[in-house]
Amino acid sequence: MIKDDLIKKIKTKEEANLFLASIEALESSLYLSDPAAFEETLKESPRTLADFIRNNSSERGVAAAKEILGDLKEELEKMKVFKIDLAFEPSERTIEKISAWIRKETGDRTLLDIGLDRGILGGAKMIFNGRYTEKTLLQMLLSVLRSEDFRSIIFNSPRNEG
Amino acid sequence: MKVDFEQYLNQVGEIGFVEKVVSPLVYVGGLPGAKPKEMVVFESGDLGQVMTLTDSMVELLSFSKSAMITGNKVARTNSVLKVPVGEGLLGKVIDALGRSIDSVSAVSSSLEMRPVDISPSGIQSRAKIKRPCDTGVSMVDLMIPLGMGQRELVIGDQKTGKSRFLLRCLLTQVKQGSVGVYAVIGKSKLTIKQIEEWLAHAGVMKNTVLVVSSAQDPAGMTYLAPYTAMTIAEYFRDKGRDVFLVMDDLSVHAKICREIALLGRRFPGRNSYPGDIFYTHARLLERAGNFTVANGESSITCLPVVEAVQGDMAGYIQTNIMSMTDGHLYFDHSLFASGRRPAIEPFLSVTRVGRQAQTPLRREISHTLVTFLRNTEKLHSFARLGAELSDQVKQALDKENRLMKFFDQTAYESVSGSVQIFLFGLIWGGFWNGKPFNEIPTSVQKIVFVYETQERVRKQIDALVSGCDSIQALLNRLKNSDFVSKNFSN
Repeated sequence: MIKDDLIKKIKTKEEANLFLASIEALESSLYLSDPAAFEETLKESPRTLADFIRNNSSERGVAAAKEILGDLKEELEKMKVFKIDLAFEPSERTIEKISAWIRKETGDRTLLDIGLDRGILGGAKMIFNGRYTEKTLLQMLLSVLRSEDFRSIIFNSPRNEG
Repeated sequence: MKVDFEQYLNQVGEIGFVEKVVSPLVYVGGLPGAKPKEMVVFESGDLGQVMTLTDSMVELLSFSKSAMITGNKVARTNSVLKVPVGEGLLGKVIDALGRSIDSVSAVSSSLEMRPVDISPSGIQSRAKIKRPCDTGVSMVDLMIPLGMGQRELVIGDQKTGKSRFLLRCLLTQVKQGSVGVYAVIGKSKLTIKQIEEWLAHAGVMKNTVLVVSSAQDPAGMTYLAPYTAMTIAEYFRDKGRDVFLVMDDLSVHAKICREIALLGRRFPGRNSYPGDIFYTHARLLERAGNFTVANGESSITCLPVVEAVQGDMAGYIQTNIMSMTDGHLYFDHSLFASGRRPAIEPFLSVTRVGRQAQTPLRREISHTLVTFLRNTEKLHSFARLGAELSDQVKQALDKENRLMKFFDQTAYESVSGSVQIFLFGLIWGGFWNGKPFNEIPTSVQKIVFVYETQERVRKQIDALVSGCDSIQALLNRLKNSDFVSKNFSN
């Protein structure tokens, strides 16, 4: 597996954080006196990460492992984050779909940061590259409730006239 | 004044997240369209201003009293920083963002909003300074006169009576119809309260705006205070009114600029001040002056204050501001300690445009006084040698003493222009030669009081002074006046 394939598999910010934590644990284990410490830590790491490291550093030893971990860490830290707030907790399938759409639009180096905000009622609030867009049911309802048409309907209704 | 964060977020559609805080500077990631000097809103509703843009981050100056936290959201407003201006501000004590510091008398939300930092008006909108600006302080009005629209630096050590002098000038000007704007920059809350009470007690608060930033306020607010004061002054100028603006003091402002610049890792210049400190103050003070407006002329007479350390006028900020103003009044610590009030050293003080606004009589008095006092200064060194003094020298020293007693303004706040000339005439003409020195201040005080309270006396003094175009003409009038011979001769 090459590095790009591994990056493609990391879809959310949560996953990226998990990978970063594992990378840091692996980096620390390289310097422990127990020669089996690195292998033990590798067993506790996400499988995709463990496989990637085994495939790429088995023949070249500690220095190679250190270099690979450093590269990977740098790559993960450079990734952009697409933050999306939803009114519901998305399923794995929904996350897959949203992630696919975002990566299609913005490229492979984008992570999805999903937040839960039931107050928005429906739709989503999105933040990417400092740009903010709110396409929520709450906003739509508020714009209708605040509109002049709605006010005239309410205040000119027969019940209010009496 | 908490601003609606969500409204701006939806309106502009850009967001940033606080990544680093070096109070009062806040570093934000995001806000791709941010512009220099743009106003931003924090999630808490507090305001900030864009200072610098880098590839990855936006540097903001926070005006918030509460600490910013990493991760806080920030929204752009697509507008430069603006403050409310209008008649509704008169009588108010406001902070640098135009909010009343007194919750009972809030500032109306319907006031016009104006940007705080604008380019100074060009040469075409400026008019020659030709109207005198009375300060009510005899020594200044007679020896170092100011003109309407002049920028006169007030410089001196701490506790030499600078603020008292400024308040007296403001009182005189407001009584003559000007609008007073007093910017208190980084002073203690006690000082702010004292200034407010003094103005209220003098009855001029209703035509004065007090823009205050206390030493406890965030650095951003102190940085902003003189700009807000100038913006308010410009509003009244545009309405055709003369404005008397005090900035007390710009050395604190310079220190705040230095603090912000060093925290922002900008390269330090002389005394660690930022390289553009001259530009910062010059751009600010250039907004004052005498201007042509729709209905004639209106002026912003600006008196910035700078503190000297142990009488050193040659400091960096001191000389900077000296070179961008139209003169300076130097308050001497040793004169203050010797009991002179105001403790202005007339020979180290300068007025560059004030004299052009004077009447021929005042100009002659000014010239005569400066020459006379300079000569008697030399006589003092001669007298110190212990030599026997001639009658002529004794008379000159006696006259000097009497003049100094006349200039002493410990007990009263403001002396009108006519009274100044009248009193000068009495002393210069020798009408009070037999009067003991210690009675002169009381007599001066009585005349000032009677002039203000009795219309008959006011008319007679005004009639004696008006129309005189030389000292000789003034003295002749005084000599031939029954009013003087009955009431003021020994």
